[in-house]
Amino acid sequence: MKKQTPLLNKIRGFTFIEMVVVIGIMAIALPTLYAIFFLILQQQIKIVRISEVQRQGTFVVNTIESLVKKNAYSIHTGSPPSTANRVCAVTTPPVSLTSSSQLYLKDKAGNSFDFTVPIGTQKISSESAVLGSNSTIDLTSSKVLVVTNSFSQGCSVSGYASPVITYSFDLCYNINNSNTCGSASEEVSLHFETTAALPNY
Amino acid sequence: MKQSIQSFSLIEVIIFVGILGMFFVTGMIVVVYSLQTMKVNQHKLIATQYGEQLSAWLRAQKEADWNSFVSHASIVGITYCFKDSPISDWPVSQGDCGVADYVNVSPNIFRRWAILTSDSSPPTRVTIEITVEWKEGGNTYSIPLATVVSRFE
Repeated sequence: MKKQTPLLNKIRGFTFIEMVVVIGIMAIALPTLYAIFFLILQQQIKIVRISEVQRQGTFVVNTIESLVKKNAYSIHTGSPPSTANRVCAVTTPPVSLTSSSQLYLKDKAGNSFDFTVPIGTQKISSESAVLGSNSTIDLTSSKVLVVTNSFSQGCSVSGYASPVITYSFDLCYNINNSNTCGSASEEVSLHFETTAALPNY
Repeated sequence: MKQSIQSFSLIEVIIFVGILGMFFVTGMIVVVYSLQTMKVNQHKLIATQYGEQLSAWLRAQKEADWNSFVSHASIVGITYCFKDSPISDWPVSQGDCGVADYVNVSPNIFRRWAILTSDSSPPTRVTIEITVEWKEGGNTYSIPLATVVSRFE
């Protein structure tokens, strides 16, 4: 019995060199696997972010186009809209596309509506007098942000044609809900622009 | 004797290492392929956005001034290369994009052009064919967008 004990130990256990080899292989394989996994995950996250920014940007563009083409009657630089602040009509001046301009649209019933980035937010909102005192509806969710000073508005008119209004903005993905677009390597930002002609009345 | 029975022979080790090697190589090929596909899909989304951006800008030009817009089109078609993003104006010169005329936004791999073809003289309709092209991993990918704008729409 005393002679068998060392033999059994030798059979059941691993040698030191075996352990070193196994740990060495694992030390090479595991970081490689994690790196590959991380790379795939990073790519997938980026695709999801681009898709989300694109989806929300397209929604904003379509909503603006649809509302302007259906309802807008005249363009103004002030609220409430009046003849004095009307722009982009045949006899009134155009407004160049800048982030500092705020344009208001008036529908046929005389109600005012506009698209803006409310102060203190990074969302595009639609404001309408028809909706009452709390008259803002967000067109973008908290998942995306409007890049600072990128939301621009302008209008022009050519001859007796319908005036056209242009909106331009950059949307980026809200990284980890931190209200920032993130570092240059993780930033996902897309530019959107839409121009809609007011209907002929 | 017991030790001899319980250890592996050379052929067993070679077969095991061979199978393991095949498994890893297959795994790596799948990983590399899926990474490439993901990257291409990511660039497809960006390319589509560039195409939409150009389409929206051209529509804006049409809405702003039809006569000025159709002066950039002809019956045989005129090609313009749009390198700037966002687009501020018509390109200075006509013609295809050169080999290094990439859109000026990172990653600088996309080339974007539009062919404007009018139907008659004076034109009442213009066909816009937009192409966004990029090269990746030895392959050339492109996103074509075609739209027709008319004077009375």
